[in-house]
Amino acid sequence: MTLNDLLPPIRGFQYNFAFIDEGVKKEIRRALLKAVALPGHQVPFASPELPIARGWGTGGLQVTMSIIGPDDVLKIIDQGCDGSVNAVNLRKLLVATTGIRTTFDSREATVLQSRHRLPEIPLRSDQVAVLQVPLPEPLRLVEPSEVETRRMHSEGDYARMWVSLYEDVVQHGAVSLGAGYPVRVNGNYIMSPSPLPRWDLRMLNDAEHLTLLGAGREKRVYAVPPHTSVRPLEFEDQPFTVENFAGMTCARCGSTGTFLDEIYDEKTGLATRVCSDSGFCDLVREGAVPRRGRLAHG
Amino acid sequence: MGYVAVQGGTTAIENSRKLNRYLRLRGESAPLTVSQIMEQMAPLVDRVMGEGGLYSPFHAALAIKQASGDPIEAAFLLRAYRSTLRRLVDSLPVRTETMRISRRISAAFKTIPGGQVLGSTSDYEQRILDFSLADETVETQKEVVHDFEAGARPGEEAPEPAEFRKVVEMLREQGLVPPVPDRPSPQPTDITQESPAFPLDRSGRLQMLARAETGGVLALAYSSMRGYGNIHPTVGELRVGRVTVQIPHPWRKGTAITLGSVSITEVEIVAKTAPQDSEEAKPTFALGYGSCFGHNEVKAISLGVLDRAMRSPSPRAPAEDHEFVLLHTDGVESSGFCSHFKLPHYVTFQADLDQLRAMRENEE
Amino acid sequence: MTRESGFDEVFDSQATFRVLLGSLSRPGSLGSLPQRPYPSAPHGLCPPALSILRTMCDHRVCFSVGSSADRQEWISYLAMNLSTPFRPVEEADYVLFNGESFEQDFTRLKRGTLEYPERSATALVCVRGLSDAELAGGRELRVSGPGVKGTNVLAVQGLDARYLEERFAANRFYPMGIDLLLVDSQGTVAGLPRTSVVEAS
Repeated sequence: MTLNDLLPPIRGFQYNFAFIDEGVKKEIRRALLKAVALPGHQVPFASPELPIARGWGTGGLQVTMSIIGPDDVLKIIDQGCDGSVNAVNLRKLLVATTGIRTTFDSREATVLQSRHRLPEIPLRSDQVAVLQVPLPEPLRLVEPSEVETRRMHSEGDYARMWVSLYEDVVQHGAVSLGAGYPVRVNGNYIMSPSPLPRWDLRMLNDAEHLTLLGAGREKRVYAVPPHTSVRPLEFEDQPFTVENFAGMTCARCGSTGTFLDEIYDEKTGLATRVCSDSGFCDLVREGAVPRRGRLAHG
Repeated sequence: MGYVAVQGGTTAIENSRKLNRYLRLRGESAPLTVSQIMEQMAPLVDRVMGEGGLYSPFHAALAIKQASGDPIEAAFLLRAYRSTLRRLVDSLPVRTETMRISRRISAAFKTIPGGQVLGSTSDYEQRILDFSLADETVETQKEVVHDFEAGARPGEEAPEPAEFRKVVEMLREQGLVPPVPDRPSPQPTDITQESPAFPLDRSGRLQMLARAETGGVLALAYSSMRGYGNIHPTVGELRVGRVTVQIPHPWRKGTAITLGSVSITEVEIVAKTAPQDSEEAKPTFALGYGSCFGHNEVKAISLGVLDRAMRSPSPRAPAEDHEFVLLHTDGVESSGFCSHFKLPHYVTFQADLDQLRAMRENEE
Repeated sequence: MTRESGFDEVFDSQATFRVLLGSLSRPGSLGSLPQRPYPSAPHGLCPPALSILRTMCDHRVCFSVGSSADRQEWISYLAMNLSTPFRPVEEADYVLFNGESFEQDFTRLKRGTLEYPERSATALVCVRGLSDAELAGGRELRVSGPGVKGTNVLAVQGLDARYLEERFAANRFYPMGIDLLLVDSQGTVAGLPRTSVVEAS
């Protein structure tokens, strides 16, 4: 054996199943097992670079790459839509390196990778949600230093977070945080649910499914096991509310109880509303599921 | 909608790729060769190797070609390629005292043991655009090379020393710089194998600095030099040259195998310290160290200044804050996150819109 | 002794890992590991435990073995089959135990720190049997907590009661603690992360 035998070919390279090598997968898998034993706690991992840019889903991608097998069925969405250009790009990479089946129907997926939304149809116990997270540290709202936020989590010292929310209420009449609203997991760690709209937070609480969250640039993974309490931070006299779509209807499927995107028609310039979950919207239009009426929570 | 949208997205991506390629090649000029970039744009190749964290002029030049000259994009390509490579073994520590010097200066002393070697630098060139470069031909190229090689006469003065003694060592011998600690060095952190945990030890900090983006570290070091901080740096020594890379012999203990050499830039900054800095009875200077792949002096000096700044006993300025410096100067991460704001944020924006509208209603 | 072949680094690791992910995210539920023949496995070391270690371990972590009569044999076997250094139990990330009798080493497993609770051991305990039905001579475990709707009930044979008592003691100061995987020779596996509340009959 010579040195040349050990070296990769100068031109080109070969990739492993699901692109990343087994060493990278092992490290992430070790982190994930600890993450599910510590609901809401951010577990560091090395997060080597991928051909996808930092900030574009490398964390979620690495988690999916570490768990996925040849028999999985993958759905991958961005802002609720399978056709979003970045979702298309990530799907391309995953399919090219695994050959697995993909779907737009959330009911068929065994692994759902998503940027910033959960599907309208609640996930089942045989499904895993993988969320892409830009900023995993919820306490960054009140503290820029990583050393300090780590201490705050370790001591359960969340006073400054509550003070910040209180000041928000005093100034604006209500908590003005939108997507990515901080939650308390298992009555313990405060966690960022990724930039999910408040609309979706109920789907993390006491869920049938496992949720894994990956932040590639910040190099953290964390998890919410099924049947675990996930409660948005709220004051007793300021109950948590979700986005208000009262009186609005999806122009494509007629649902009145889904999270709606505001869109401006390319030709007429008129504003309409359509389901953010394009897969759900399609299923309603196909007659596969009934349209969603107004939900109690929103 | 799902299928149509996906098809639309796929087509858009493919068309964009084709457009990029077309824009790069549609002119009348012949395609750039990787060799041309390696040979005639060495500083750019060096910068990309440094920021990509992979020493390979060929791959860096290829990345530059693919990125049409965008240095951050090229560094990203190189970094991503590096991730796919197998790690075989760790090298032995490189001894920069034995560097084959191509340039070596000190701002601290007029003459130094071994002498100041100006070498190749643009520092004293007049920055006047040279229009003759627009007409450079293969003939002018041959003439320039021939004239230089004919005029070079090695060995006329005293032979070059084998080792150039470090200026910092001289200061150390006089007790003006703290001695090297007696204890054995701990195993260095490897920032590519684990997530950096703050407070990060010095080996981790120096690694992060070594592959930091040149403009980013320059801006922060500049803030320190201008007064956001208290460094007052002097360039004790700046060296550029080739250093030997060796690995331990797999079975003959105590011997090493030489793999080859790499070119690096190394800077040792000497800084004044405030009285409470030094634990010794007598005050000393303090050191800041910076080194990076290839010939990149602005970066190496900036790294030396930042290394020193980050060891301030009472950090106040941004350049003195470890997390601020180290978490915001990686070009691949910062440019990626910056670019990510172009991704759809409809849902988060919708949530914000909803909030704002509700708040405005409350005001009424 | 030669290294066991027959474990696919890519696909068996992935399949094994998915089962383990299920076990620790749904504590007390039973999972089924892909069966691989390991003819040289020493007595008492249930073969699926090797699959688990080969899935989870590499040169960046270390393993240990809870002391027992067969300790040296187990260590040699695992050292041959894993590219993972052997370390004393206080330092180890993955530690193998024989569930039949309690090993004092179990009390020395590392529990992580307040800031880094993940730097804690995962204990693999080889048991004689795991089932969701009653097992002769077995013990019933009622598991609740995160990951469990209500209670999961499982039966385990060949698990010394002290493992559960010491587990409780080790996990008293959440988030520090240890995480357990129970595995039998048929490849049935159950997980008990530190968050689980376990009542034993």
